Amino acid sequence: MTAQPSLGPISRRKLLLGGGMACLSFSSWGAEAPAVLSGAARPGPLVCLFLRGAADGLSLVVPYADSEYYTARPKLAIAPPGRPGGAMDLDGRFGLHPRLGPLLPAYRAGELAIVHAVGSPHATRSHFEAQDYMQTATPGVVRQDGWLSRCLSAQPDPAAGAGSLRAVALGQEPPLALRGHPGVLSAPRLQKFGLHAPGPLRDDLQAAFEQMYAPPPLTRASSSTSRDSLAVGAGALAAARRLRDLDLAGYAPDHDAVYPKPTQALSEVAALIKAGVGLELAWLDIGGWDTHQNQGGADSGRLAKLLDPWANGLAAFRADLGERFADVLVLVMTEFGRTVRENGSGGTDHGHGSVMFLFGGRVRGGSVYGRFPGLSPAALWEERDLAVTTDFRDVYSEVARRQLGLTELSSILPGYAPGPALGLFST
Amino acid sequence: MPNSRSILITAAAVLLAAGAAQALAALACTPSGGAPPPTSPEASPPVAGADPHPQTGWRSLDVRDARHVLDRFSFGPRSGEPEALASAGLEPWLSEQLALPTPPDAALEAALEPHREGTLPAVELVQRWLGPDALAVPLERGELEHALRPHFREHLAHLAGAELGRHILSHQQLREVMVDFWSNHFNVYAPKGVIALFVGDYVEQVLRPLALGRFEDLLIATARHPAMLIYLDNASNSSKAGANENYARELLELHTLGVAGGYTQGDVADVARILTGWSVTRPGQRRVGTERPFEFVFRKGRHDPAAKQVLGLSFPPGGGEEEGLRLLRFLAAQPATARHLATKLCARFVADAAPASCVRAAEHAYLESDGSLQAVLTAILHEQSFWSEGVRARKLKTPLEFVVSALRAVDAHPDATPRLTQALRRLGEPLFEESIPTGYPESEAAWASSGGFMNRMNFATALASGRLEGVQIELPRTLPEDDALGLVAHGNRAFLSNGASQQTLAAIAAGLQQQARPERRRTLAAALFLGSPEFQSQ
Repeated sequence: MTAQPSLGPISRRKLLLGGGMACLSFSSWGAEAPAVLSGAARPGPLVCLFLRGAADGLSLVVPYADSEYYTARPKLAIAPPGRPGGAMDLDGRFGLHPRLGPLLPAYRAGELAIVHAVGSPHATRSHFEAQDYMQTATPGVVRQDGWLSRCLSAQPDPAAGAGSLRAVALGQEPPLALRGHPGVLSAPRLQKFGLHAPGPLRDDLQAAFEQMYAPPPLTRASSSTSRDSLAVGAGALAAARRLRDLDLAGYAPDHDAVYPKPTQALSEVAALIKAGVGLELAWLDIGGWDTHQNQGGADSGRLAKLLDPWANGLAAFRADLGERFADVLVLVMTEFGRTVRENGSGGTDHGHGSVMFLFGGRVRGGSVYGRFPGLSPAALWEERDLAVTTDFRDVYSEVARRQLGLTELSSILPGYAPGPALGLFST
Repeated sequence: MPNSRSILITAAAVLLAAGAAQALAALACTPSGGAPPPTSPEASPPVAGADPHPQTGWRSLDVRDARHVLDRFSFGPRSGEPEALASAGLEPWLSEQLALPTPPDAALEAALEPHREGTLPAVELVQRWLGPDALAVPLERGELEHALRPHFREHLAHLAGAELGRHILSHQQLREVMVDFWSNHFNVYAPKGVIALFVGDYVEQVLRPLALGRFEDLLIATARHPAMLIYLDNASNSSKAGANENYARELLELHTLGVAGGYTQGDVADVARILTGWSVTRPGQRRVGTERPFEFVFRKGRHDPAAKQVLGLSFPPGGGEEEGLRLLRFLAAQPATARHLATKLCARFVADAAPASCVRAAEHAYLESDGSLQAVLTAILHEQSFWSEGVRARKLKTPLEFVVSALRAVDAHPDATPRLTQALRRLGEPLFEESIPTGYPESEAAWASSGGFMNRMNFATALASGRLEGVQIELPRTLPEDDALGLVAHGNRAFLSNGASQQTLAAIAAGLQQQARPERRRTLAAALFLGSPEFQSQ
């Protein structure tokens, strides 16, 4: 591994300046991105779902036409379409896990694209290493800033200082993907973001902290505190005020959408999108995918139990957003796949290639992308795993261009040599 | 919502009405009129950067200087400490901080007793959790890990509890600061595999005792410790299976030479080959002689006996275990290592962008003293860039520094539970849980996030109102007054050595005017001072 241990000091002013320059640099994308010759895409919200623990791509998107699949998994394989508990056919080769059925209409409507045999060029089977590399987008190279932070830094913050709600992480702390950018909010639930104290005390605290953190006039810029810290603190307080005004706790989804309990945080993301607060990035971690034991099949076991609420939650998110979904992208990813062969305890072990889902209004859905290398012994990676034929950064680079509207990716995906375009987006 | 300017004006009006504007201006460190800062009565006349004392060579300190020293060379002052240091002088304080061996501290040890399990050796932990015979039967690594994993969560909380307890209570503050520094420099990730078993021993037997010694000793001890051997995969670095370069690369890049240290991929490969066979004994393996599980072992059969060369230094064939030690001593003595460590230490103690003069002084001290960390730290403390106005109160505290400094500022005492560690987790720096080998970052850019600042303000509020789980405080001892002006004045002195800006003081004064009940006022004052922008920096 090669480390880049230190970030240079970032100041808000530099970010603004750098962002402005990035927007002007239209010169370097032409050769590698023929699909966007018409100009930069208009940015739209990106919602990332990270399935932590390595989700079994071969159960989520079942290669039912490959007989090796059934040989390798006598107990865990999902049956072909048409059989009891069978997969839901996508294209004659692949089928969705039956618990992902709520997403089938989106696939048919062209809003859901799937990339199979996708993953990292790095060989690690360590969860933490692979998750880190997927979040820094630098396989094999340790960095302390995330790829999405670099995306944020590439564009100016339209609400700088006024309580930015550009980037939210629905968790205790920002994930590595969002580390290194000052404007990231993180809270397990956004309705709880803000000062925690009994009512009257909270109001006094909020007012006093706002006064303290208000950037001083320039004439007093040399006071002892860093102006950058002041700006970050002021932004946090303003964001808390904005979130309180939005009353997320009282949010009522549209179109009778019902979010299953584990997916309630997704409703807060929908609320922010509908409120038009300038949300660019949302991040949700979903744990529990490390199914060494009791992985299960179509109806029972850990995988079915996990897939059920999330498929329904994503379908609710789609329904809730209505026409607003046209600009939204949900990107679902995991650090690596699992062994092709099932193990002795009703599960699968750490593998290599897996799947990614792109669910959104701009994707060219209704297809399974990527070259599926097959599961015959000769095709397996290290004689045991689904080989990776699509670098996850091939997906990232199209997402960065077509969803986030970025044109200059050399600093966002350093060391990445673009592969052939997948063509995941239609507009 | 009222804008901040109008709040400021309102606050000023309130204070004017109370006849307090003049008092407030006198409290602030940066008066608006550009007048020189008022000299506090206890400060001696010489200011920062004053000439060294003619006899001792040590500079005389005012309270602000003393606070700067305690902000950086300790986890922040307890109440009254800056005043005490200013009057006693720097030299006795530094000698006490560098004292070896560490003087016994019965009160500290008593406070750590509930977390004692966190620091037991691996064998005892396994026997305690899985029964006395657990290690007698052969176990696959996966099986053992599976059986141990349910115990790790609480274990890690106790480990972190013990670590936080020492940071808060120990009188050996410079040692504690350096333990934090080395914990990141020689990072290990406790949740990986069975590493949690070894972290307590790693911290207590390696990092803490050697934190202020010679770098070479620290380097060798980390290289041979099971926590590091497992974390960076050297435990499986074998000439039979093909060398694993993970540790070799980080050893050169992060632990010694630095990324620009002038080594090549060929050097990395040969370092890995030199360290083949450096491994950890496992339970259930065929025992050789009196081998015990979970200890360093040199496995000759897995060592590559051929010749190697690193940075031009030849290692003849058949060097065995000794050539690894020779390599580590050689690396510790390299000028690139001196430069790398000097840069990181100056970034830690002086400014994120390490001043060149500081790096030169620290590097020189390192090379002249054969890698004595006491010499390096003394050189940094003497260096003019450390004392310059431009670096003071400008360095954003890491979450750990913020939490520990706040707890010290209110003289908090950890209770017997391991819950305090949750506060640090919420702020994004759970101890021993950074997965990447660089350890937690030091720079402002890495920690200044909206979510992080909100969490800091909430931590300050919870601590001040006695709602923070895991500690006990007696706020009236820290802030005896209960009237608004008294609280503002005393809080400014106690928490910031009179370093608060006028803007901050006006905000706190205005907030306190709203509170009719004395207890609430005191709570609010402490919450606002600890959550203020000034307290986030050091």
